[in-house]
Amino acid sequence: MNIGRAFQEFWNATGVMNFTGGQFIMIIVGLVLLYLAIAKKYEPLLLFTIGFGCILANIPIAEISGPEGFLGIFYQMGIANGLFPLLIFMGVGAMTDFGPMIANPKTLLLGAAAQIGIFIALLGALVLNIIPGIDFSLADAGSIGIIGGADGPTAIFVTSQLAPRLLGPIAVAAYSYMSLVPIIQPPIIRAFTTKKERVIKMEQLRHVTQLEKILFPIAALGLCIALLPSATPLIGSLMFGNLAKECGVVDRISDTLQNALINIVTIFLGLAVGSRMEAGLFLTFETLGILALGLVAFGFGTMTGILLAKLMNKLSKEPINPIIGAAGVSAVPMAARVANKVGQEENPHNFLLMHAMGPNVAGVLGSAVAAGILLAVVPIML
Amino acid sequence: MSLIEQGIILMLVGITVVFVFLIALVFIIKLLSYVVLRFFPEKEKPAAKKPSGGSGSKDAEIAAAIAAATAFSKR
Repeated sequence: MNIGRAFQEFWNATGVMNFTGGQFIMIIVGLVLLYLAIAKKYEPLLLFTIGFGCILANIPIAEISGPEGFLGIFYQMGIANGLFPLLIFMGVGAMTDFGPMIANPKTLLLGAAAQIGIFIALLGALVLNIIPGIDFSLADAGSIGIIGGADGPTAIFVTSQLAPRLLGPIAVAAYSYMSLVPIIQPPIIRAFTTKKERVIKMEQLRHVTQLEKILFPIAALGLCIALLPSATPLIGSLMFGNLAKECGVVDRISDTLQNALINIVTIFLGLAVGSRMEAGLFLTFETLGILALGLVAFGFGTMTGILLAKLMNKLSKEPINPIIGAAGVSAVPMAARVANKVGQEENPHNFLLMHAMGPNVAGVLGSAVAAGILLAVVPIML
Repeated sequence: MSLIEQGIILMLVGITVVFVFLIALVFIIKLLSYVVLRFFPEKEKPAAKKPSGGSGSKDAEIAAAIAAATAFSKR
């Protein structure tokens, strides 16, 4: 081999010579995600790691997201088998205070109502099949719908089990819309409530004893074991973390779950999700459909939560501000903060945050339950 | 059965089960709270905690005091 030919071979192996158009577009998509994370601070922990993973996954020749590449190894390690989302859920459990929900258990219903968006988006995905170039199976539709759960780990868990090929677009849609909750929800809240309803003050929540907080995770897991074993990976992890926090004797475990472990797993999970954003998998017509349906799921979830809250306000003796219904779409604690903010715009002395935390954490349970139903029923129907 | 029909079935099953599950949880929490507050009330703790806890904890204290008084008078 002469020197000229050696340079020729090297030139043929450069990135410049091997880029495909799709990879180039996806690297720009990765940069946009980094921009949203760094400049706009939209879910930075996730969009930063996913965005960088997306760039790495679309480098020609290096095959970073292939089975031998390090992102591919992360993917096999914890996404393909559903492990990472469960570890995140343990951390979420250790950070969640179910107190406001225990103090006012009625708010659980709002967490249930806001899950209706999931199933409307599911149906929407099947309807989209009339568009040529889109072919969603029931399993795909279920995974797309779960975006409406507004819960990243749950969405990733369900998708990794039902429709792994759609993991990239679904995870990106889930986390993007979660970060857009402050933009998506307020107009919907205002559209479906009257000013009179938005200024409603709620009675202060009672004190919840430690014993109640310790018994709750065990009782909730017990119900899940009895009714919906397919949701126990999610609910079990959540309650493991929560009991570790509330029992007060394993602070080291609780501390690790809500800090070190969740941070490490977030790095792995974000990069591995980014690795599913290869041009071939991501640049499809279906991705556009998924992004649109995710928005539908969020919008309907917010709406149904609010509508049930309005109904409960009419029927219940104690006043219920319908704004808190919007917090039923998990996205903890962002949705609760949004509810608080919209309430304070009408009346600066109205503090809805703790009242909205009830439906908010109920939404986490609700979307985990919805996930369990999809995991239990969809494989049978296929 | 068409895909849409399956979707509708899945939707109805899903919404029903989510509501059944969370309504069941409402009753479990209510039962739990009733049993805990009735038989294992926190001793003195709310009083020892920040007095800025608001009327909620004070109401609880008053309720506890009334409960204690009635229990005492029944003897």
